[in-house]
Amino acid sequence: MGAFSFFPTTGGEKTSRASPLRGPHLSLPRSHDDQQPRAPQDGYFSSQPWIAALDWPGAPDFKDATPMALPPRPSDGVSGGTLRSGGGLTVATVADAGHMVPADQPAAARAMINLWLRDSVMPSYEADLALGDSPAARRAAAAADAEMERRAEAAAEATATAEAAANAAAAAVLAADGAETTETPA
Amino acid sequence: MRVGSEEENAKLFFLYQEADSVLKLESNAAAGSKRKKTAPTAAAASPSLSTLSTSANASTPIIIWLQGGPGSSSLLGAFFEMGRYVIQDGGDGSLHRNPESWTRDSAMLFVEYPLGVGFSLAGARRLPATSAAAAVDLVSGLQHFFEERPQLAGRPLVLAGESYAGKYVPEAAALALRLASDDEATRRGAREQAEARGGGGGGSPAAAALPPASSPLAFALRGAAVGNGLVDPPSQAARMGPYLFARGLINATTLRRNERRAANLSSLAAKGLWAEAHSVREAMVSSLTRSALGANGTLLDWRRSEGYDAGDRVRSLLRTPAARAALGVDPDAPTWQRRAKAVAAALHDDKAVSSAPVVAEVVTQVPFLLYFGVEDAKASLFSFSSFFFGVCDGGVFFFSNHRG
Repeated sequence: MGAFSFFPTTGGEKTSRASPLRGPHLSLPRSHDDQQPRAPQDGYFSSQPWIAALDWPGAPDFKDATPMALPPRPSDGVSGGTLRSGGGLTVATVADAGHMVPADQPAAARAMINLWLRDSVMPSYEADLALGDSPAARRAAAAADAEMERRAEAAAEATATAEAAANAAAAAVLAADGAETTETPA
Repeated sequence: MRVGSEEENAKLFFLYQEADSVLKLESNAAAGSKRKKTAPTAAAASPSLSTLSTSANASTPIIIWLQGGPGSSSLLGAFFEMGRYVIQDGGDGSLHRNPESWTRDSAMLFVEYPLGVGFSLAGARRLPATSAAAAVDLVSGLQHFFEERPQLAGRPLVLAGESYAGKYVPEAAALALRLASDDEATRRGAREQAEARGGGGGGSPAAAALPPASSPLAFALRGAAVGNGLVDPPSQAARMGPYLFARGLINATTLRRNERRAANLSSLAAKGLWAEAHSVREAMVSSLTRSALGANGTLLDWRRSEGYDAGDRVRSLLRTPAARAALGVDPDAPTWQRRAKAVAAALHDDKAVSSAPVVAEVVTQVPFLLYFGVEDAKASLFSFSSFFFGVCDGGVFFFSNHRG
């Protein structure tokens, strides 16, 4: 059992259409070299009014907070966006991302959520909360992959029929760690 | 995760993906047992969650994820956004390791929410009419989940979500924080509130599943996060016209008409006429869409850009019998849909209600993250794909994706 692309999907025949926007035939300009630091409200045009109107004890601290740049993206070295924290509130923007941020800019989204977790949620947390591709994070990812593979193989060996083995292997991948995903007795 | 009584057969579907760092510990343990020549068994293949806890991973966060919609399945997040395995862009529909999965650093708990969404079952339960009512089901389901897994409950827990979850997250976080309070009077008040608004009707079975006011919840949230959220629909809708005008996509007449509608929406919302307010917002969305983007069918294809074609791609995976079996989907659960229309319809009168005051309540207690996808204004077609997606995604209007 090699890479984790083995899930026996039968849905492969329904492939998604090529993107009319991202296809080479349109060659839309996606300039990254104009990403000067922007006023923070640029990234949340529609939400800025209600955020500015939020009334909570930390509001003065938030208003005074200075935006910082997210770490450079591995793909092109451009900052992934901005992040501003104060009074318990953090507002982050992710560049070149649309509605589904982690799907559009996976690296920047991960750096963003990790920065917030590390600096705001759990300031004492210093362990493997990698903001980029640290060796420690890579080792952990490789070990996790090995562990998932081990589970998939063990599940396959422990089942008799080929179909059941495929399901068990899929189970190990899909459910990832054998978590119960449905009902537990009330 | 059953919520409420057995007769109702209302169940929330949870998918838990452990963090890499914790799996690494498991892997090390497995390597140790291999040296002892322990044959692999089915049990080894799926260790129960209780075996996964060590003090070494006590500080690894768990991010509870809610998709938006309303009615969208959180498995879109799992298999398209930040889960461990995602469907590859333009690929054959099979799963691939996501190198930037949030599970590299944190565990993810994806919840099909509210009841009736994705693989969750509403059963005989009336669908929740407000985000606040739905919150009772979520908190009750999480209570079950963490009660049985105290080792997970002790880890830093964050409630996060996208788009319509801009309403779900604050409402549920506020309720969970009140119920986890050290102050018994606060807990009692929250419990009474949950009973009053709980989704069940007739004694609110979901609220009945909560712990008594004498004891706090089995879990305590440490933070809340919302991506491209719909939090304050009236003010967010009012910014739509100015944005389009600034981009040169509507004329001044349309802008003024939009301003009048925004003022109307605002006054309806102030009067608590939520259904009417929502209708005005829908009218704003559709007329501005027409004005700015035209009735040209090719524009409708924008939202089909591969980057957001989450529904089709995840659907082809989750409708396979193998996937249902692998995920242990309840036999009574419906065929997976990316968006449950009935859930969205039940929340009709909730759609214009602002959750901004609840954000203020939550951010007073725990860190709150608001993040926004920002688009490069130079790639103007691109800028509107996100806009378009937002409009089509359940009639919910998002407009925070612009830059410059």
